[in-house]
Amino acid sequence: MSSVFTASFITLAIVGMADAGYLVWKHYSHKAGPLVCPLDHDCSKVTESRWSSTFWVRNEVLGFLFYLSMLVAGLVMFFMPGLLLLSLPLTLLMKLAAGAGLLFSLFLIWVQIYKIKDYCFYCMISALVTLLLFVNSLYL
Amino acid sequence: MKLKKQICDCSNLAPFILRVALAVPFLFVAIDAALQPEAWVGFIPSFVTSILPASLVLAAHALMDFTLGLWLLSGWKTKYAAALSAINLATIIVVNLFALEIIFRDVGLLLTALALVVLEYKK
Repeated sequence: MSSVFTASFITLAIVGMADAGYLVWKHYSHKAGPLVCPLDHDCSKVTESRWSSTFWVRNEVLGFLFYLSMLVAGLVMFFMPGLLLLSLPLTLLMKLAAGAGLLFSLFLIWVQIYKIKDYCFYCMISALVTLLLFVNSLYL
Repeated sequence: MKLKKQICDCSNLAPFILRVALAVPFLFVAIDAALQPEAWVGFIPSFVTSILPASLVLAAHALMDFTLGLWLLSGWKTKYAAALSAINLATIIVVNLFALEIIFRDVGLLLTALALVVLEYKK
């Protein structure tokens, strides 16, 4: 295990938290104002669509919790490298979790293309970060 | 041109990319310095370690890099974050000229920070 890949994994998790956290903040804070998209695009068509929640939990909240769990897992893995959870190595669980996150991101991209027929910049960034997290997890 | 208009007005995209391009290396360096300080401690100049403990200087610098990384990602008062980043990077380059084959990449980051200052100057 290389600690360089652990550092990059944690970095990606923090970038993902910033991305998802921005969407959470914009949705729940009354003072935050509308979403500011770097592409000057109306992301709210996606973020406020009927596909914006999964089992009554908003997708950006799920994303934030996912990245937070990846951050905690990265830190735990570094300080307790031999840790087993449910009889499985933590690194294997991280690979599985990152893979599941990537599949969910791919599903959300499919929803944007074929169901909503519009896109959200921050959702695409989140999908890219999840892809990089998954690739990074293979080197842990 | 038609496609470009359909997708976006991309004038705000360049500063966003520059912010992320600066923030990610700062966050990575801060985290890696915390996880494996022995890989970074050699870059602290000897005149600094003769005054202060190397571990303290490295921790303080990692904290500053981490703060700058988050600040750049936040997009709040970016020109100040970019200016501080440029000063930080210029200092790193000047005190590590002996390791130019490693540090020359920071010249690119310094110019990135300066480009961001220029783009954000009047906002």
